[in-house]
Order: sequence, then C-alpha cells, then structure tokens
Amino acid sequence: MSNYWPIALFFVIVIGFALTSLGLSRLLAPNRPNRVKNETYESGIAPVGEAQQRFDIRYYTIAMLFVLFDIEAVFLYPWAVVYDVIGIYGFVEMLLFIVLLLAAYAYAWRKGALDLG
Amino acid sequence: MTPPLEWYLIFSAALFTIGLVGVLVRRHVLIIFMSVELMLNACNVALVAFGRHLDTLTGQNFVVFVITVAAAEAAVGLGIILSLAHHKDTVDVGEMDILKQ
Amino acid sequence: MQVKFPDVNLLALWPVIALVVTALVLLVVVVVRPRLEGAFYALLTLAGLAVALVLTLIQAGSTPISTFAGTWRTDDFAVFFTLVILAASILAVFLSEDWLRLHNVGQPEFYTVLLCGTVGMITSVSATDVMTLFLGIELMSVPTYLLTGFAKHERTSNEGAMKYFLLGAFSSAILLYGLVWAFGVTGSTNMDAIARFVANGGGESRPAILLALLLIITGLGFKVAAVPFHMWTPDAYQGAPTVVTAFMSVAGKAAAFGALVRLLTQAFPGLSGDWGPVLVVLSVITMLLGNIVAIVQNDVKRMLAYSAIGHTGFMLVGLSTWSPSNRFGAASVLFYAFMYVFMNMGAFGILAWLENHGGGTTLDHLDGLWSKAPAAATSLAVFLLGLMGFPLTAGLWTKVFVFQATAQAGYTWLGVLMLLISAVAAVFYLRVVVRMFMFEPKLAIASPSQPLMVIGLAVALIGTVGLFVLFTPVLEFAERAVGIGA
Repeated sequence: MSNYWPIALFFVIVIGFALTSLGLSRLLAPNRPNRVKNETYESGIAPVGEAQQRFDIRYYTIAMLFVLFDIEAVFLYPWAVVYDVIGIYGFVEMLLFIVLLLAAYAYAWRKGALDLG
Repeated sequence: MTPPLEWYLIFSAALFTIGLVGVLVRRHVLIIFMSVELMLNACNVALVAFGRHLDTLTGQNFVVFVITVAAAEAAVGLGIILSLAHHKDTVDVGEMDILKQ
Repeated sequence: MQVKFPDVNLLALWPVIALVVTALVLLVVVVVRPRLEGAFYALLTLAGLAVALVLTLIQAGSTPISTFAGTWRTDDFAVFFTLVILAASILAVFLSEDWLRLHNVGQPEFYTVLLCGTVGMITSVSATDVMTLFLGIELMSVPTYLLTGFAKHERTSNEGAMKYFLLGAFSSAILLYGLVWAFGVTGSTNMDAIARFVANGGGESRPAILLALLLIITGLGFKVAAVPFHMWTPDAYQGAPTVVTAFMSVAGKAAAFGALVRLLTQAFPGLSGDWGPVLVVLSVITMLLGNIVAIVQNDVKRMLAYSAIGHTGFMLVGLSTWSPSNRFGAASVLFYAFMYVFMNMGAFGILAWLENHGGGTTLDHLDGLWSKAPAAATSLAVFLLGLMGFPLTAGLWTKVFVFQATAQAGYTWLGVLMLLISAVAAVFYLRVVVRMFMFEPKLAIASPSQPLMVIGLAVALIGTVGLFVLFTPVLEFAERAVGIGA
C-alpha cells in the first residue's frame, strides 16, 4: 500500500496547483465583461437554442446498436489474452462469433438502421 | 491492505436493495429500468468479490456474461420504450392502464 | 499462464446448432433477397425446427452427454423438455404465419426472434451450471419481450411488452443475485458441486444458502407466473399477439419449469425439506387466485391467461412433493408440461384463428360459434375440456398424476384441494362451451383460407385426444428423465 503514496501525493499537488492558480487569477485579474468579449471565440459558431433540447429519435437506434456491438467486444479481450494457448480452435470459434455479429450488422445496415438522412 | 469480503458484500447488498426499492416505488419507466441495471451491477460487485475471495476466475467470467446480457436487455427494453412513446407521450407506468379492466 | 481447455462434444449441441443456423439463414436471406412472398420464411423455419426435432429424437436414445466442462448436459431430462419446447415452437410457427401475413408484420424477424427464444429455452433446461442457466433464461426472456411487442402498431401490445419487460428484467436480476450467492457460498457454479456442498444442510453457511434459494425461487417464480409474482402475466398475455401468448404460455413456462426443477432437484436436493413447504404455499395461492379470478373475466384471452396461472399452481403442487426418495412429483410436472403444449396451444390457436377472421376474443364473439364454424367450436371445446382435466382428453392424466404424486408423498390434502379447485375451474371453461353451443350468434365472421393454421390446430387436436390413449410412453419417459428406475 505504501507504494501508492507518491500517486496520492501527485493528485494532491495537481489539485492544489489547479485550485491555487484559478483562485489567484480570480483575485488578481481585472473582470470587465462586455458583449464582444462574451461571443464565441474566434471562428466558433454562435450557439442556437437551448442545450437541453430533445434529440431526434433516430439517434437512439444508432446508440442502441453501438451499445450492443461495443459490449460484444468484451469477449475479444479474454480471448486475445489466451489466444496463444487455445490456438486454431479458439480462432475458429471467435470467427464464428464474429460471423454471427456480422450477419446482424448486415441486417441492420440493410434495414436502414444506420441511415441518418 | 485489502478490505475484507464482508465490505464488498454489504456494498453489493446496499446497491441491490436500492435498485429493488427503486423498482417498487418509482413510476417512471426509465428510472425503473435504471434501478434494474443497478441490481445487476450489485450482482457484478458480489461476483467479483466472491471470485477474488475464492481465488477463482469464475466470478469475473460470470461478470462478462452479465454485462453482455444487460446490454442486450437494455437495447430491447429501450426499443420497447421508444415504441410505446410513439403511441403516447408518457413513459409513466401509472398511465398504462388500458389493459386493466 | 495455465489455461485448462474445456472438453467439447458438439454431439450434444446439434439441435441448437440447427436452430441457430436457421435463424442466421433467415437474417441473411433478408439481406440478400428482401422481398420474398408467401410462406417461404415459415417453411424455412419449420424445416430448421424439424431438423432439430429429429436430432433431439436421435439423442433421446443415446447415453447422456455432459460437455463444455460440465456446464451443459444432454440427458433424458434435457431431451424431454427440448421435445416439449420444440413441439411448442413448431405449433407456434404453424399458427402464426397467417397472423403475420394478415397484419403485414416482418415475418423473417418474427421467426428469427422465435428461434433465438427457442435456443434460450433449450439452453435453460440443458444447463448444469448456474452461469449457463442464467444465460439460457435471459436468451429465452429477451426474445419473448420482443415477441410480446411485435404488433407494434397496437398499443395493447406495446403496453404488455413494457410491463413484461420491466418485471422480467426485475425478476432476472433477483434470480441472478440468488445464483451469485449460491456461487459465493458454495464456491462453484456447477450444480453437482453445489449439491455436494448443501448435502448436509449447508453447515454454518446455511442462512446464506437459504437466502440464495429464496431469491432463486422468487426469480423463477416470476418466470413461471406463480402468485404473488404473477402481476405481469394477465397484461402480457392479453397484450401480446395471440400466437405469441400461446408460445410463451407453453414453451416459456415449460423452460422456466425445466430450469426450476433442474435447479431444485439437482443443485439443492439436500434442501428439499426447506423448499418443499415454500412451494406448497406458492402452489396453493397460485391455484386459488388463478382459477378464481379467471371466473370473472369477460375476455376469453385474459381468462386463459389467468387459467395459465392456475395451471402453474397445479404444476407447482407436483414439484412441491419431490424428495430424493420420492421423485414422482417431478415426473408429474414433466408430464404436465408435455400435455399442456397441445391443449393450451390449441385453445389460443382457435382464438388467433377467430381474430384473423375479423372476430374478437370476448365471450360475445364466441356466442353461437357452433352454428357458424362447427369445427372451430368443437376443437375449442375439446381444448378447454382438456385444460379442465376432463376424461377422453390428455388433460385428465395431468391431474391424475399430480394427485398420485401428492398421495405418494403424504400430501393428500393438497391433492384433494387441487381437485376441488379444478372443479371450480370447470365453471369458466364450461361457460365458454355453453355459449358456443347454446347461444345465438351475434357477430359474423369471414373465412379466409389458412392452411398452415389448420394443420397446426389439427396437430394440437390429435395430440390432446390421442395422448389420452397413448400417455404411457410419455409418462415412462418423464419418469426416466427425473431418475426413477435409473
């Protein structure tokens, strides 16, 4: 456990430094806002509407598909760790798994679940 | 120093209970669903703790499957919620009453 | 690192592989040739299911195979339930094709999801490891949520799916927590190892084991629709498309019972003195509530939903009498599940047929059905009499053997109570029959030709009546499956 003390110390220093510099600039710097200063920086686009708007329902399909395929990748990690032990048999097994996912992916693509337009 | 097994189990039991109570008292579909996910994650905590305690990989192995199952459930569940929201602008279970006679 | 490579015997998996390949082919066909007309998808699915059925029948004769490091076992028990599940799936395909066509619902998707659910059900009855069992239960549940909401333009279907999903996911989490505790306390996810640990009652970890057992019974209690965990059942069964209701009330229940019987009798046989009484209480309130609430229902579909709860109660009676020295109770559950397939699929099938004809499922719609569609009325009458347990149908034997199990285990009062409740149940079954045969017709029905549905209903009818005569092989198989005379 004592090996971790440097890391804890590091975090304390980082947080302390950030708070100190922010606090100092707040105390020392002049604060005179005006309209031009508050505009979006440089070539940024002026914001439109509220930040908490409702998103188009199509994004949910994409999000759901992402979650599914993303989570399936969890099986790849243990497989990769023991790959050299399980050899060709494990490779074929994983190939079958990927084929199943691919079929589902092709289906989703074909059905237009990935179209945003 | 590693915390003893009991701490993890108490933590897991607390999470599970929060989820359980959430399902029973909340009326919003998404909140109920999040409570269910909380219960599943309580199981995951217990699994990893037990696995570590018993010095076996089975616990973590089980967790991987629980996570994927939870993802599949989430996808199907959100699909059903969306489909229902098309019909009615509410996701409050108290307002789902046409099947009660 | 030392990795122990598990022994793999694919022989045990052939039926499941056949189903997965069929589901995959269905998906690929949609991608390659999106517009195929007619009953192509249904026939493809039926072919896959038929192959799986043949492969399972081949397994029925051979020695048990335990594989995948002891997580999967294809023994008589698994084969028995696999046959029940496959029979229900095949009937469901026969009954659903017309509904899918008339409502223009995605056929390949429906069958793919149905096949995935079937695979999950087979997994949950073949699992001898709680991890595999949980995966099977989930692979069964998630597709059934989808099937329940398949009529996505109807609000009832959506609402039923929503309730089913929320309570289903809830119960899965409870079941999982129980399994996790069983693993944590006994140190293994293997059912035989758990059984060895609890053989002497569990020692000083007994409270934790009992907690796990309670959570497991609660979780699976939801899945089999036992009171007080039944609240999703009427809504999900009424909201779902009628064929889906038929499928999940038969196959889903069989698989959940398979998992329950397997867990209780293989992983927790040493605690049968503890879970037996719990199941007795559950069975009594389930029988009472299911059959009594069914009486006041006006919609026959909802009535059958409550009747399905009642049947869960009857099956729980059988299971509650199990003890290591008297295994007949489990055999009566298996036997019940087998006969139930034909009677219940048939009854819901007739309702689906009526709906396809522009009719509904309330009692008013059934008035005078005899004068307009004598075959349908007679069939429905036979199915309902079967569910009632009337002689000349297979339903009689289901009640007889559950009663025999109670008598053998010294629970005769429970058996008598079950028979009394069955008599009460006759009220609502016979009321439908009376209204079909004695009342004047109120509503007209169209009659499109539905060949696949007629075949499915004929099979169910032959099963219901034929198994009254030929029940002995089924009973012997069920007894062998639970280890009687082995």
